[in-house]
Amino acid sequence: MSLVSSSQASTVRYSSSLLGVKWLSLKNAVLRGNRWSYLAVLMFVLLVAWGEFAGTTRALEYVCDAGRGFLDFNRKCSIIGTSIASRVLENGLLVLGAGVTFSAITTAITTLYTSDDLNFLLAQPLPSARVFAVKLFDTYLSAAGIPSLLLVAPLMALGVFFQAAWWYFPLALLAAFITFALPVGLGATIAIGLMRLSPAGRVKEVATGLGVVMSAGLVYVIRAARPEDLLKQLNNIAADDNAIDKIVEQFGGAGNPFLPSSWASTFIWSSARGDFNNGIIFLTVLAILLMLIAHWLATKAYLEGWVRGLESSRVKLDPTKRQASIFENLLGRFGAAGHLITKDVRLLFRDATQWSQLLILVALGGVYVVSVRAVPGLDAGNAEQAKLYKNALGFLTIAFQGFVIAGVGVRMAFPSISLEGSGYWLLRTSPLSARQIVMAKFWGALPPTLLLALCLGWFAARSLDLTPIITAMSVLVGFSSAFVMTGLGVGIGAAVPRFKFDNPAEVAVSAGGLIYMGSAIIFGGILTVIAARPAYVSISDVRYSQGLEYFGSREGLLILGLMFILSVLGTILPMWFGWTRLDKHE
Amino acid sequence: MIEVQNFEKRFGRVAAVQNVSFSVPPGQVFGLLGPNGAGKTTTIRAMVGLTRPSSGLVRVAGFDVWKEPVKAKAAFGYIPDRPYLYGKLTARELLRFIAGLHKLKNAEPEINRWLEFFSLENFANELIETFSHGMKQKLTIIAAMLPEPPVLIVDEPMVGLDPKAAKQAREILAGYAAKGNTVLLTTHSLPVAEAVAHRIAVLDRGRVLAEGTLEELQNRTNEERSGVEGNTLERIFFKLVEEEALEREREKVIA
Repeated sequence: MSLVSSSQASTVRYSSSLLGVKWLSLKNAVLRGNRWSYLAVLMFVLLVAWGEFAGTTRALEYVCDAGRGFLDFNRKCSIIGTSIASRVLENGLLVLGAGVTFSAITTAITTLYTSDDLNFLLAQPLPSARVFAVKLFDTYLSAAGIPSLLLVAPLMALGVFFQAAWWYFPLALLAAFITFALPVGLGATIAIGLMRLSPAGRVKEVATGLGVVMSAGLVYVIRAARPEDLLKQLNNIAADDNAIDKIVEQFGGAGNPFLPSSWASTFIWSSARGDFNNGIIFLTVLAILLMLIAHWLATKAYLEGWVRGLESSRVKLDPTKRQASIFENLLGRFGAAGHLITKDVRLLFRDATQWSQLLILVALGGVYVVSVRAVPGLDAGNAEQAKLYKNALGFLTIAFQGFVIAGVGVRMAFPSISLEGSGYWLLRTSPLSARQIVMAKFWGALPPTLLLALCLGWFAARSLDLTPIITAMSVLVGFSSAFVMTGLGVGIGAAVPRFKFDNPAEVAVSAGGLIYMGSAIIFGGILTVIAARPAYVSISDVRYSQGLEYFGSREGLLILGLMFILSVLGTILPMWFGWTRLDKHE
Repeated sequence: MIEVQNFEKRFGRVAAVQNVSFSVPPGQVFGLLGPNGAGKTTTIRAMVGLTRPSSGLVRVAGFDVWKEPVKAKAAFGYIPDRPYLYGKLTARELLRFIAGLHKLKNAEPEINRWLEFFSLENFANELIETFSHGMKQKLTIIAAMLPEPPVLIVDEPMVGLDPKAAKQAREILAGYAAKGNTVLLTTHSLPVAEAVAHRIAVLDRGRVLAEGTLEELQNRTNEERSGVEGNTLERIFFKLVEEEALEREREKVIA
């Protein structure tokens, strides 16, 4: 009897500490890993955080200095600077939030339904809701972990800059985390519904596909509907061609009142300046509501959905001796790299967790373009002011462009080597060098990333009607970012591959993923700094406002040369590092 | 031809394999036997380029696996104990991929022949993720043999195979060596080793306890041939391992 009681007690202790088991695994991995590597990662993370903090502070000083004559109420920042900075924060949260939304459903399906440890966990005498809660936490870490971490330093910088009250710091972090928790909760809820309703046999594929289409559509519709325009009409706001205060009023006001990212940014911005805003209450209530719904659904449908996911489809045997496709023969002409790309393309389109990344890519691009077009105030003010404002915004989009491409890279280029998984032995024992493997992955990941980058650069420039020089810089930065961020992703991914994972989404949130994001952001920052000079010249110097003659000047050529050299080095060096390390990998 | 000279593999302070040397000439099947954790798989992983030796030399077909990896890898086929393959490829696509990596010309007839040999022709266009463990193992054997490498390195070939396929695999290994190729295999199935291996090495705790033909090992351990397949080698194996355990005990007592 005492034995039974003891066993029950240990089961209860175990069941109450599923997160404890996760923590123990992490602790063991850290303690038994190479401490110097961890120290290097820590130093790198601190460096990135410091860069973000310093960069945010410098950016705030810069924009707050613009239009000095019109200081806002606490006299820390100009009115126009306040407006621009708050809009940038909102757009940043929107773009990051959109990225999290797109990946949340696919991530939720992999963590909730296809993780290797589920067979073990769900066979234990545990309530399925408890397993679901742990897996939901995993989903948050996978889909929103990096965006959340990246926001910490800028939010702290904002508070320090405005000398915010103590309560700002925890509440600002809470607001940012909830902003990303919402799409994760929504993603998990939709995933449960889809897994329960999709036809047996193809549950995972259908659910992942539908999930991605639904979430992409959802965010796109919200953006394309431009709720701020609706509100503008309701309020019958008339644009006054000559009044700068109208621009500020439109630009600085609540731009997207129906989006949680807008509530979060309004709250963060207000509270940084000592003004408590209700946005945090809306966010918290919505988050609690969503968690309650998800929990209710989990108790009703999670286990059934998981069981359905295990059911296999009926095999229809096809004994024909199928020949290689034209595509396979064509790529095969490029040797081993061609065969590797053929294999990767096949896996990409057959694996729902992989092809959904392409949809994410398209949808992210769509949201970005629509968001740029939807910025209020573009058509207000006089022609000169509007032009100045558009070009300033155009320059800021260059910085965001790099960020979006980095976000795509961490899902496509970075995990490309790790996704070989347990099957990597096949490549490793084939007559292929590590360099060939890395190069093949690079050429496979580059086309979609380059296409996205060029589209972002071109459409943003077209939408805002930028000067030819800023348009050219926007496209060039896109071109450079695509090459460098793909090379960086494949290179770092090869240097620190992670072939063992419960679900593919974990690869992106590994230490290597953090290093990649940090490096990509640093490179994006360098490109933005380089682009600042031509952008300034095109706005301030009438000689260069209408054409591309600037790039024929000594300074223009120097800038183009610098970008070229940085792009080549930024692409090749990480890949060289990657294949050298991959060659030594055991 | 396989040459392993003074191979050592350390993981931190722990020596997984110490001073292992042997060579396998063309035309022979070499069996590497030992209990769990003896260092068989570590030795094989070093031969196929999955583990870097801490010291020593590993050559396959005359090429140092770590200095000339691409040439060495073009010269061997590897069958691992766990057949992890790309689940979202069909069997035929996987084999064409392998043929492409090895630059094989006109591989289709050979692919069809192998698929028919292992009765997989009806499943050739199905995704590998729908295959059983045994079917995956068969496919791994085909993938290793399709390029007709002069050296075949096999880690536990019989795991998951049905009796017919296991017999086929045994015949393939013996036949492949008979054509003048080199075969190295590790197995826990002592009857298999006794049936196909020309020479055998017994490893325990990372060291070679004995190496030779079945007769040489018999002489060394004073065991006689039993007449029951696998029984002779089994007795030799246990005697060697037990002798080693006793030796360790003696060393402990003296220390």
